[in-house]
Amino acid sequence: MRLGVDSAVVVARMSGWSARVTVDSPSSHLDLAAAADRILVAAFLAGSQEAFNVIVTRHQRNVYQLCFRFVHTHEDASDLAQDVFVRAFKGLKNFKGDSALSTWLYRVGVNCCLNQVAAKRPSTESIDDAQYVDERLDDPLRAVVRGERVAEVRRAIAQLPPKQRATLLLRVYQELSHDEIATILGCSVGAAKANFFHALRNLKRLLQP
Amino acid sequence: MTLHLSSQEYVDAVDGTLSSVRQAHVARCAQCRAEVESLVGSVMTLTQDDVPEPSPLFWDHFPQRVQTTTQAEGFSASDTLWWARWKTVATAAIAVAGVVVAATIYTRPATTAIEPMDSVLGALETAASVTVEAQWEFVTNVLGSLETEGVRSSLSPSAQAVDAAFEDLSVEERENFMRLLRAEMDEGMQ
Repeated sequence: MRLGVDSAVVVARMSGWSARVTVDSPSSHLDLAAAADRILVAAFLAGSQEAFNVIVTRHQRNVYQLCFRFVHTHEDASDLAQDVFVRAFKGLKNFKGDSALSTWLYRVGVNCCLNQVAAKRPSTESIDDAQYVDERLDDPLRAVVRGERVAEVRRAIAQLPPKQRATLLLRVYQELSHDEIATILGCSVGAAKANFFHALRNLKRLLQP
Repeated sequence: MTLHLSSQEYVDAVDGTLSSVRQAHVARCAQCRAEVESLVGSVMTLTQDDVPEPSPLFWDHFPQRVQTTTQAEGFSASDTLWWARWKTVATAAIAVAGVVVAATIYTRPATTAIEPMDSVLGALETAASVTVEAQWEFVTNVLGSLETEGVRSSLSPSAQAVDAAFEDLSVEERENFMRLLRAEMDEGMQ
């Protein structure tokens, strides 16, 4: 994939790093699909829509999965993921480069998701939760039991305080380090670990019969 | 007796990063061991829930969907370039404005010294005239209270002072002085 914008040499400077991007120059072309995230950000800030499309393609799965963990339906998750990238589009000029782009996108995503669930917080999760459990590999009976158990866990997670919920989802499902979680949530690593501990403890209490 | 694990150490135990010293404590302490096993069990419960994979077409169309939305909201990638350029221009404008303000402040003492000069001089003249008038009033009052003979005796030069002053004059000055004196005496006799 090559850039289709006017020839330009772009030097994007952010705190801690800078990137020099030659955009569609007659003498050289930049393969955006293989470019590092920082190069894509620089190209986007230089006016390349294609660079942003590559960013979306590269990170859409992780952002969608994070959103799904919060809302548990494909429709809501896809809408939320779209909202995350629209916000990223508007806010990428403020991205300092202090952290990885993926970490910054997770931060935007967590904020979007917490706002969404706070705006329309159901007292319990939808009764249809179980139908979104991937049952393709289970036999019917096991699938039903497993689906009920998964729905029960989702309802318990939904009852956790926002930061504990976000920490739990980022750690267990997105497999982020405590350092990354601390960056995303804007807290210390110790606080991120404490949030995780209390989230697991509260979850155990909520799942007890 | 060793302290039980802290919340952060429990997380380290779940992650498998707990120090060997604290691991030894967990091996000896039934309470901490039970807590660690409980936390690990909670994590295992969570990992049974997978996100269903959307259609491959969803991933193919999603970037275009985002682009359509940003364009519908009136944004384009070139807006960020425009913003970046204007950010530079705005920064430069602010810097220039700062220099202008600083220069204005720096030169203000000279300006204030020139612009109100007329009024300052007028005030000084007024003050000076008031002083002169007051001085003349003071002298008039003092002289008015003195006797005529007293004034004449106190203000008349002594004979030695007149002789000394006459001796200090040059020959030419003496001739002029004598001419003026004769003219004055002639006027007095007429």
